[in-house]
Amino acid sequence: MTVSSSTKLRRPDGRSSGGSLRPLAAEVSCLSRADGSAKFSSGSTQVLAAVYGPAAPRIPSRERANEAVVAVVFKFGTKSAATADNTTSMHPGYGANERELERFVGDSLMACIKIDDYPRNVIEVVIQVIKSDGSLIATALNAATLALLDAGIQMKSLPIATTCLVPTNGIDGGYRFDPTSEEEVSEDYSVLVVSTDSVEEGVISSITFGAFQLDSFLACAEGARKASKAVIAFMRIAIEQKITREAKTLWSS
Amino acid sequence: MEDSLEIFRAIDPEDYLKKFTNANTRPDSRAHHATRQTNVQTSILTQNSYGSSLVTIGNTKVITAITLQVGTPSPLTPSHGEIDVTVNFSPLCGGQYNTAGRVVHDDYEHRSVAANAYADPQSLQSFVKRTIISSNMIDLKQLCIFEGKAAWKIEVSCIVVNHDGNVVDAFLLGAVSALMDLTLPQVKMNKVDGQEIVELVASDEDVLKPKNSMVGGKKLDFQKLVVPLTIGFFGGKMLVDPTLEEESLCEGMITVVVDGNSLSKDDGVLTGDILNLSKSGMNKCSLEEIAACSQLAFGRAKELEAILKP
Repeated sequence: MTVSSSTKLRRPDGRSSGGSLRPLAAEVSCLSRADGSAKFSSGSTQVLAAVYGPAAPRIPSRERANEAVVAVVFKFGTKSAATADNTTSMHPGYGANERELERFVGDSLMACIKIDDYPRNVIEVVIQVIKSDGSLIATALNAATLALLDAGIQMKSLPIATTCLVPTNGIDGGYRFDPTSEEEVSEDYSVLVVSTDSVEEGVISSITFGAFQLDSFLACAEGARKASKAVIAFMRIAIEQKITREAKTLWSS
Repeated sequence: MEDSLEIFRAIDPEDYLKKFTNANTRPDSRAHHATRQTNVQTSILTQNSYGSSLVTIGNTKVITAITLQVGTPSPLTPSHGEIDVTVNFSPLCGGQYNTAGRVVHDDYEHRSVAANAYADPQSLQSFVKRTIISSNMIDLKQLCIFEGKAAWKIEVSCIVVNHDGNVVDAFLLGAVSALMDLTLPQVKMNKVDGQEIVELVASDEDVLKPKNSMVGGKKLDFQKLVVPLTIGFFGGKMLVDPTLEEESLCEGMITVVVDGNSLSKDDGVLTGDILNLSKSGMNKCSLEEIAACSQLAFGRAKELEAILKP
């Protein structure tokens, strides 16, 4: 799963290329009460996402006449609660609070879900961080996407997020995709999170932490599209396995 | 004629705006790439705050004020102070906020997804705060009073006085200009009842108000010049510095924050460091559009250099 070739380097977790992603793992339909759920891991970063809906909104004023509202709830793990200096990469959200991350995930999901098919409904997506070891925000969005697939919500395309580590002073190359938290903490690098979809070109949402050059961002967005193909292929396998499993246990003749 | 125009605007705001954008203009006659008149006034609240500013972008008005506290620095960073930024909305700024500063969900208000993202106070506060702090525009060591024992905690507070769109830019410009206006008062360490405390060295012992205690105070040094630009996407067109009306109809928004001190010309093209690039909303932004937005942001930084720097 190599995205782009870069000079020989040894990353803290043993990967030898800036373009390689960590191994993905997923457990689909792990929550029995949710309409859709997925526990998604990228390396040792693990996020649990649950989807409830489409359902009637609890507050009538929340609904939109012509389309669905996607409400996201983002919860960090226990370690995050109160960090005095909340701007270092030690903070799980890199300084961004849960509201900002909810917006990032919500926007990407709303761009890809067929919201016109569910007018006056709310689709609630709950994200719980289980373990954070780098590329947290991207893993969270990917977990949400997989949970939506499990819930059977109609989607136009799949939003996938990719994290890229770029050098602050813009030296060519040196980009690292899917960084671990050890790599993210470095002062000389900035973290860019970009969400793309499986169908069209272009960036749906982006959130960045640290300074960078425009060229780095554009290269990262290009790489994100390529990386997303690998993630989607993985999700396809995960869903196929779930359907095969369900066919055996639920609909055995 | 005037009445029917207003009725059209109220019934079908999207089509109303489309009529302008299709003719390469906007309701306030601006070009798509033009920003509104931007003004920054500093030292507007000298009675109770150590640094303050009033930023106006068109009709959007934001007041920023800085108050100071003394705290004990963290053992990991014994000579670093702290900066905290809060933003406040109220019914004063417009009808869409209630007294608790939260967005009011109205049956009649149409707000796009992107506009909702830019209306959420907590999300905006997080964005503004982390942009200011992670930009490292101020070396926090300047806030040290006594290593390991006392350091300044700067509290930057932004209030929207009138909301006509693009408060994000106003918040960032307000915070930057207030910090530039800030004078840290002269202090000394003193022992009172066996405890070490930090005391103001005021010019007049009886009146310890900011404006009196700033004599001999110190201004901060800035490593970077943080300048933002917000652009809305409407029907495939980019509207720079959207008004409230335009913001509520844009299907996507992007805010690019750049470092005005890092600008340089590369092959005749203005370039520099980007401190934050946040795209929200439901549209897909092509790489060309992102590059164009960054270009516009660099241009904005060049333009505002004159009014931000004293």
